[in-house]
Amino acid sequence: MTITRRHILRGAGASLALPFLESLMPRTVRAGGMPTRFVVFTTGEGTLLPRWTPAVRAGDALELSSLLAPLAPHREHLNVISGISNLLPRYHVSNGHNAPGHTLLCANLAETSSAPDGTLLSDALRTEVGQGSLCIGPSVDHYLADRIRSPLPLNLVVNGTNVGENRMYYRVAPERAGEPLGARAEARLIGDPREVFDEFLAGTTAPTTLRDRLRGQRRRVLDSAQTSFAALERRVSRDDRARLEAHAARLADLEARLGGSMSACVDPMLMLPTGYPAVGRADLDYRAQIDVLVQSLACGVTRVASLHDSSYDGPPFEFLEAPVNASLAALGAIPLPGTRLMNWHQQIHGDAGGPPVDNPNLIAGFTFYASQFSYLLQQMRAIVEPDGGTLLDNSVVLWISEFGAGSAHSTENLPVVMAGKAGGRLMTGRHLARGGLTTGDLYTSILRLFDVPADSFGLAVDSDLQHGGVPGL
Amino acid sequence: MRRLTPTEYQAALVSLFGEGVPNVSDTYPVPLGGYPYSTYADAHRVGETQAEALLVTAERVAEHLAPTLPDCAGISMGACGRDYLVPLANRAFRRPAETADVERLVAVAEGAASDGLAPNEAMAVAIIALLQEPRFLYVVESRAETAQWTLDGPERAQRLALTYWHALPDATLNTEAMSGALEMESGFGLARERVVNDPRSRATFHRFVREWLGIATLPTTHEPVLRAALDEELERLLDDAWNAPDGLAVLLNADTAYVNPTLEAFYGLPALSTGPTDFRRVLMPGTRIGLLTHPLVLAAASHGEESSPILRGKLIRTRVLCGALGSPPAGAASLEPVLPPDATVRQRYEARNTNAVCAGCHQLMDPVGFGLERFDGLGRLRATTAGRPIDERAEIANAGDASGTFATPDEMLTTLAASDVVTSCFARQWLRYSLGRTEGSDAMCVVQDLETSFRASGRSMPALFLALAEDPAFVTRHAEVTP
Repeated sequence: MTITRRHILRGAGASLALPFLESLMPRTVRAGGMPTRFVVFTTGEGTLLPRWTPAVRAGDALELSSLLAPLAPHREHLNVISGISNLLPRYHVSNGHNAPGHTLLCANLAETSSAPDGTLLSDALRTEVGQGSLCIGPSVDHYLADRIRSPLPLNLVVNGTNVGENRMYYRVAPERAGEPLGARAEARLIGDPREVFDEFLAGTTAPTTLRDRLRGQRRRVLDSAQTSFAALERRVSRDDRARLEAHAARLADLEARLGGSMSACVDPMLMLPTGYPAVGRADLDYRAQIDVLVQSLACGVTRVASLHDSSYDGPPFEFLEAPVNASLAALGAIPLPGTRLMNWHQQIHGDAGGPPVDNPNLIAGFTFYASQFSYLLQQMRAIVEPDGGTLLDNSVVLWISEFGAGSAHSTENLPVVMAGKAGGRLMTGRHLARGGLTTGDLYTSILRLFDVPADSFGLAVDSDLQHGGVPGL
Repeated sequence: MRRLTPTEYQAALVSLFGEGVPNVSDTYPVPLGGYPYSTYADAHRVGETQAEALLVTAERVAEHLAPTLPDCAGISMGACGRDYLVPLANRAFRRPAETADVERLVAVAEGAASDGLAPNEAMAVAIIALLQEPRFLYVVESRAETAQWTLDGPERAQRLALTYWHALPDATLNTEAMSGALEMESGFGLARERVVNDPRSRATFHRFVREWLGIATLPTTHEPVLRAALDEELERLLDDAWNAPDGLAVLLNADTAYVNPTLEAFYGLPALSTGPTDFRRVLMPGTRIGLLTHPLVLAAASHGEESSPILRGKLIRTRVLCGALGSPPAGAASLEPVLPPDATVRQRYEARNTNAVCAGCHQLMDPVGFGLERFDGLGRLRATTAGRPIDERAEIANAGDASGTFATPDEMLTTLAASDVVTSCFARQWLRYSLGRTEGSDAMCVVQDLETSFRASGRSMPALFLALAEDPAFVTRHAEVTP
């Protein structure tokens, strides 16, 4: 990926040329205070918990389990969290998949269990969650984007560039302020990286008009102004200081919103992997989508993005037939044991391939997912931002699935990995074993990392749904 | 501490960059509504919308200037930036810029240049940064941890120029500021007389009176040609008031009108004017009784073409008499008595008055507004309302020597024009406008001084203006004054 090398060079060159380089970042980030980006990565069908759950070690030390082995290069950038459950399916009438998937990111009711005013319907009045049902509340990515004034999240999918109703699995519901229960609007999921590039990135090449060149310096201008406000604040009366501080806070907001595209984004180019697109090559889909996602974050297209595996039948895994190609092997993918991985869904449930936890096909499939998450982290670490840290350092990257043990449709003990130091706010390299907590708690903690006030996120009708966050996050 | 008003910002741009600078009145953030005057500090709070508008406005200016800025041929960006930015920052900040301030702006230019921008464009980026500087945007006078102090020379120059001209100090004021002359009573006395006698003070008087009467930026229901003619007429009436020995009597009681063909038709006068720019002076006794009967004021205090005794009464009560009125209580509309659609405004008032919650304020407003009922919502004279004769009996209650009952607007406005309460109030309104806040306990002395001087001058407007700068409070400050 050419863009990566260019970004590294850019970072190095800038650090030599500009003594006040760190002043180019928003004050909040400089202070090590706040993450600037949020990424959600979901994969389907849970995991094989005995092979996924890390051992509990003294001091929350992280020892990667076998299914997380591809993440070894990034171990010092991870928090693995075990014991998080999604309790929402119990309020729904559903097959084993729809309610878990539809409620995963919103921690709230699907509309089939909700009265028009958002309250929980009694058992008798609930209808079955369908493929097309939407959650009544916003998904955490859209809620966060709204609160931090990010442009709309970029919601990408793999495993199907033609995202039709039947392929929809995760509902990512954007919040629409002002409409009663307005969250029930479907987010736009984009399956084709070329569409993302053409729409969001193609125009961000070197500015050609005077106005664009001046606007390209906004971060520098706003940073200068904030420095000046801070200096003057110390020299005026208390009342005047309060006024200057209020104004300076708005400059910081503005910088976060408008100033994002100056340094980390130079001449974006669409770099598709060789051979893309090809039927059955989900690995190429992942790679192309991850590349365009990282580029979009670096270029300030948005501060919130997600990548979803959009079918519970799993991706076609024939690319994992031995021998796997070198680049996948380098990411930690392991080959299938000789035969093609047919019917992922049936094998998950043990209807084919024997007991799931010992099924080498499933082990290869889940390891492939980890290798793709590893690739995402690798690309985010390759972007050097103007503060000298990497894109990953300044981010929160969440990997989650709708099941714990997919074989049993269980939504307890979801596999949760959070990567990134959240702009310096998060300690990493830890395994947080947190039984008894929920997705609502997890999202509450994530919102707080972004300084979005939250005591809970999503449904709170019963006392076991919300505990005010995850200790340690 | 207040931020520059749109008028001041535009004037500052002109003095920094010349007459060709773009008019940014449509992008500079307008003062928030709901405050007595546009100068009130709280009307200039900066939310993200305002912060973005300040940035975009500066970018517009910089984009316009970029082709004319130095190309820095043969010298470094740093040296070139310093040469250009130091004098600019000195004027923009209304005081000598400190080294750290200048170097910060120079670093912006150098950084932009290192990103590949041409020197003149890099300088334009520094100008954008300059126009975000707090010392440019805010009228800074306070000191940290200081209870009481006297303004220094540059602060006095700034205060004089912004108060009387809504502009940056001119070259003379800057020279006087730097020489120390403004900190001596003799030098400051000469400077303030020059400033008040400058035509720009008269323009400030115009803006003040327009805001005082609620017609500063008001769109009215008048046709554009008519509106323009009414504005022109108002200019002349305000000049009359500025030049008159008793300016307040002119504002409140003069029967003068200035009419071109448009206004002759509107006022129902014979067509004697020779053309659109020929505003001939006529007397309209009984129809024109000072500015409170000017169509712009009457229309501002109306609901479309419907006259509003409530709004007109409120205008007189709060702006002319300086009375305090609360806001309508929550759910006020639900207390409104149900009457037939053809009920008169007075019948509505009397029904409303049976409710003590309403009566408390409406007794102070509506009976005052009734006195202007012979003028419709556009300010035209009328003989009937909805087929009934005009009922313009008026009463001003609880207003000292302005109190009374009146059979005609002439009686009411003549009383107001002669009232001591009104005289004091006008002086107080000028103080509020110039201070940018409602006077607190700290300003009791200056209020009295102003009223005394105003009265002693025979109510001359330039004398009132000058009296403000002659008061010791003009150049002394107390920390943390709560209005």
